Amino acid sequence: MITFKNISKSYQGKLALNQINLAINSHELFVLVGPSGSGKTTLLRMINRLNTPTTGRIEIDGQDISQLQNINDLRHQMGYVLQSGALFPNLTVAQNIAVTLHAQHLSKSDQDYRIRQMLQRVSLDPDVFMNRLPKELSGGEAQRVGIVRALVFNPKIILMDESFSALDPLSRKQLQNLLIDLHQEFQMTIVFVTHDMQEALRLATRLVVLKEGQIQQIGTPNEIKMHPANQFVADFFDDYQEKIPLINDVLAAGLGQPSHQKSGTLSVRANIYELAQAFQQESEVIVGDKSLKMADLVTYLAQQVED
Amino acid sequence: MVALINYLNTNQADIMKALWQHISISFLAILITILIAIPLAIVLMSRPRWGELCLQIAGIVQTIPSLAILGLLIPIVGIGTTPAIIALVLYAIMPVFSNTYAGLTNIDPQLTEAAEAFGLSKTFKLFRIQLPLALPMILTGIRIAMVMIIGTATLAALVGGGGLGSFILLGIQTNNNEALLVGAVLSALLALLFSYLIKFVTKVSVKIVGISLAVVCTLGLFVGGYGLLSETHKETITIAGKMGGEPEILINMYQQVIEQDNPDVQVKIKPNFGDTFFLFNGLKSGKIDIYPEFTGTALQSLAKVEGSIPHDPKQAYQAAKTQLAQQFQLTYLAPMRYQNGYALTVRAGDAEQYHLKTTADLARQSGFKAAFDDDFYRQPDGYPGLARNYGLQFDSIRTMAPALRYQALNAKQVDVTDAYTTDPEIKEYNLKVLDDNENFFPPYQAAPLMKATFAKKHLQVVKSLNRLSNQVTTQEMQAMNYQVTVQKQKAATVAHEYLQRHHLIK
Repeated sequence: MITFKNISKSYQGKLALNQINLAINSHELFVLVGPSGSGKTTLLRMINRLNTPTTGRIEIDGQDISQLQNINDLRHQMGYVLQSGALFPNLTVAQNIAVTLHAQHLSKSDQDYRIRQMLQRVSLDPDVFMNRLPKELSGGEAQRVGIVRALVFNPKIILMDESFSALDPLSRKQLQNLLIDLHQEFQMTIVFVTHDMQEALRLATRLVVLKEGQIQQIGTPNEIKMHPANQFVADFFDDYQEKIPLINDVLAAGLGQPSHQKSGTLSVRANIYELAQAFQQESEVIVGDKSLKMADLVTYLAQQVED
Repeated sequence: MVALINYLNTNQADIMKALWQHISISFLAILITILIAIPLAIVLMSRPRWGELCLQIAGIVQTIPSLAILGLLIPIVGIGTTPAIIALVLYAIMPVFSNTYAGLTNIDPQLTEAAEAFGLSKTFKLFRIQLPLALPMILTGIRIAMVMIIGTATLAALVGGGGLGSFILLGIQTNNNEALLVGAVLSALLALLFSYLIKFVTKVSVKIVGISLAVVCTLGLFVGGYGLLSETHKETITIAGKMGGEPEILINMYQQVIEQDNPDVQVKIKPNFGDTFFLFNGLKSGKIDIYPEFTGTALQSLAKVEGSIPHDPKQAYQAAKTQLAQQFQLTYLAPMRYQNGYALTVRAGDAEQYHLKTTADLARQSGFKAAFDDDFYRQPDGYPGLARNYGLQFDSIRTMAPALRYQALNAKQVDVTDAYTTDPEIKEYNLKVLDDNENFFPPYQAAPLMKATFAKKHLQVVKSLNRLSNQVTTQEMQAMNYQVTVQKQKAATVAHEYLQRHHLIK
């Protein structure tokens, strides 16, 4: 259990965090979400003492972490995944992962075994990837290695700072699923920072919404969806509501046939519900210089599910 | 081209020695630089305020002309390789330090944060992450420094540090283009070679870089250390000479008579060691034991003499001997016979036609055009005093570089120039030296100068050197200078032949 007690932080006279009281239970996948400047990353970095609070204290299983003599004893218990993977460019994948195993005093063969096992677990073939350099990896692969590096020494806690924000939507979704699976399998406590409400709702067992250094609401995704505590939370959630695709998106997916008929039935800004309505009256809808059939809409929807 | 090949052939051993010296000095300097700059950058990388301060200081040091640094260092550390290496290190620290510092401090903050968050030990962080990431920058800094050091090391010759610079200096001072070319081209090639080597190293893997750095360090220690050891720990007598052929002939003579008479003494000679100032300081600091000095120079530049300088050679020597002993506790042995003072020269043909034998004869002529060395033209004891003394008058007077005025005289563009009486050009261009019949110029006779304590301890050496006193006439010296400077014969050979011919050695 990680407990924040009356945490405040001020930078150059400005209050970045104001009287934060928060308890993160063991085995939770807890998400700190909020717009930039909300203080979520500052809060996260206090857990491994990359930041220190101005007032208040943080306890892990009842132990005040500011009282720990050796800061590395604390850090050696925690995995940390940064935004871009932050792999050391001069070290191979295996060496990058071994960096966190260094403090565990394992034999070389034990290390190799662990690294191989974990790479396989995140769907990277050890024989292919172990000796690669970070520059030979895609963004998604690099972040998988980053996760392995945080996970390989079986920490009780893993901290993740905007870990998926720089990825393309497809890799992002895959890694979110991977993280959910890993959390279920290993049952460690994960504290995850994101500015993306969608991601927060998707991942979290519980989440906290922050704004300008103050807690707006703490709860499960459902609670927050159903009962936003204030207008800010409601708006923040709305902004990140799943958008209804527009006809433009259907066209952008390469669907539809060229049409020479000038007069369009619908605008490209109309959404797919309106398109479906139109198909109830006619079999072919003209949008701009393209004609769409019902089959196009079905194909489009099928593609969305695949993603 | 033929001259150059000849020069290369006759001086092969000296060139190789200078090249080796140059490489040793450069290696030792880069090694010391690396050992200072890189640890300094490592210590300061987490203290940005001090780091910036050091960058500023290193930058300022680099703007001081290297010549000035050498000059400032002489009173503190004396002459020879030590001030040269210190100056080179001061110079080279800036690029190595600033590149290492920049390399270490500009590492992606995400990586630094990751390393911190994983609780990595300081040594692990430094040697596995920070240094490898900064390595390309560090190597670039070392490359810049190396090229700079090899180029600047040519200045070491000015303080008696040897190296390729001695050829450049010799070339400039004696108008010897071959020597100049050898020194300049070799040092440029050396710089290019090392730059290329280091560049090549940057392209290969970190492991190889580490190994080669280690090799360079050990090599530098070995090469430099060996050079220094062999210089300081051998019990030998060191004799140095000023720039040019004549001093080199003299010190070879000193060496040959001493070594023949004293089989247990080894004489190390350092030709083209520097100018009067460096040699005099070198003698006082014990870096060298003996060097040939002129009586006139001793009286005018070294010892402070009250009243006018004696114009009689014997009185001049006595005065110089007394003053040097009193003021500096130096022993000045008896001089050789020849005079290498100022004089006026004309073409031999003119001398015959106008019956010119002495300077007074010239004063009776009119319509002569003169060309003088700039110093000679300005110094009160040069042309202005001479003209007043003899009542000289010329049609026109121009000042030009020493070597050019002989060419001008030979090409009949001018009719009179100043000269040193033993200049080889006198023989080369068949010139007539006009006798200073009223003894206006102070006498310049060469004699060995040493510390009084040294003379007391080495009576046999003094005895050997005294055998050379009153030897060698001005004409003989001219001829020998001609053989060495114009015909490019080896000074050692020329000296040996002379000594044998006059039964001074077997």
